[in-house]
Amino acid sequence: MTIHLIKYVLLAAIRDRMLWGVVAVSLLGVCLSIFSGSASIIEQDQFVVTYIAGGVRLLSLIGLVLFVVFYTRKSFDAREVEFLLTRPISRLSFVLSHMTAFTLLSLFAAVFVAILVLIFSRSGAGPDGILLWSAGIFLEFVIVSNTAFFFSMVLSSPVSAGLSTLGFYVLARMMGGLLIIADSNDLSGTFDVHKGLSYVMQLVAVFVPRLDLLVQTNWLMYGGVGLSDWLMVILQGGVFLALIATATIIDLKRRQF
Amino acid sequence: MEKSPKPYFWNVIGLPVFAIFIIALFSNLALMRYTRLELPAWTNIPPAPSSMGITMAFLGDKELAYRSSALTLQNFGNMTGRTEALKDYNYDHLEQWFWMEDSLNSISEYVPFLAAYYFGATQNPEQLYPVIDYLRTIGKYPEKEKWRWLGQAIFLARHRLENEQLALDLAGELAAIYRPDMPAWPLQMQAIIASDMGEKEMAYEMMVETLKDGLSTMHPSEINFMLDYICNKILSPVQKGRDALCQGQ
Repeated sequence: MTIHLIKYVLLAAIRDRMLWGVVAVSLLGVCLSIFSGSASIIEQDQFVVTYIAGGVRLLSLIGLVLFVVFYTRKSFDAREVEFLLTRPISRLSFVLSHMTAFTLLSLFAAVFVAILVLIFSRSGAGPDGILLWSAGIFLEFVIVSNTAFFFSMVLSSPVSAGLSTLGFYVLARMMGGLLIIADSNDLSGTFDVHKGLSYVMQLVAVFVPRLDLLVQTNWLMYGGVGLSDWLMVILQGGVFLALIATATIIDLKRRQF
Repeated sequence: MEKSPKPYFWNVIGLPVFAIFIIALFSNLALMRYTRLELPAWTNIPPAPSSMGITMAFLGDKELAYRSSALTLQNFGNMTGRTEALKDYNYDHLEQWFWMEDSLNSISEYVPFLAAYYFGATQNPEQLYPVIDYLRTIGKYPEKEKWRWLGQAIFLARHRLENEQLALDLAGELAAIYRPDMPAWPLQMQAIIASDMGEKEMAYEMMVETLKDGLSTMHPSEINFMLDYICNKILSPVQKGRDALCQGQ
């Protein structure tokens, strides 16, 4: 991992106005959340916080994904990757430096969204819920931005890499519901299409994190988080990041330039 | 040198393209004459989606699904520039929505508030049974202030639906979940309704029992109210004169 490469990626983010983009789109999301939340008869604060937590998070995440995908594909197309690899940087260091840079960008976006939520949060649920939610959103951003890095290394088109990442995100957020549907099928007895799909979904669930468990907006309203919630967040983040990092390293190591 | 004449616009872009453009423009105008009459229609309250379905639609975020669908519930009948009377709403479907919302978030007071104070204001009191059923269950949840929704169910049953027996049953359920941190009226409610129904003996027994149980914990003004109610509302003047409780009342 090299500091210069990390700085290089961060400079690219500043040059592409990615950070300002996240800030601008987040502020726009906050305005829309206040507008929508003010339509409710009671519990307006909870509505605003929920809309910020759900909407601004998604907008910031899309910003991160678009930056990572287009930056990576542009680096390949402009032969910057080949140039960088001619320097005394190992392929392992190349991947880890990029992942660290994307993690720092995720940290920036997560801290900004968490501050916005904190400003509007008046539920009195205590700091434990907001802290865990902030940690969860940070890990969600890290997972998705590094997944975007993986897809943009593997797929040559930025459009397919971006769509694949967003598809992965939607799948990961919906995985809880999909597993309920899969489990509702009786897997004993004769084999049919529905049972086959249930098995496929359970297999897919092995490789897709449960992002619906990673960030739960009700933590912001009612707190009540325990050690098991923290463990679930940290464990999911660690396990999936290890998987995506090794997959990206394997892909780059076997690549011929 | 003689200046060449400026070519016509349709000569520059080609007559066929220009002709297709004009035809497309007029076709759009003609289509608009038809589509402008096709306005969104009020299709009444639709059946509620499943809580899992709506959670998945909001990317697994239960709280966002709850808040968004609760706001939709609030705005049913008042969207697309129309205002529909509550008496025209499908209250059976509305009850499905209440329970769907409850499965997403049973702590928030938002949907119980809508049920009690907004949908409870229907012009047709006969529609209130699903609302009362919902508030009856919500009111027994253990959270600190949820019992108030059972109180609201009693109000709807007694004053809107004018079903005294149902109100009495609900008041019994409210008294059964009484906790010392609640005010005294949930305990008194059953006796007050029984008294108004003409069940004076039952009301007297209930009030005296409540007084005995709560004498050490109740606020003096509550005790005074109960004594006054027993002596001046439940008992006749003759009975009052004979009752030891009513000395000085």
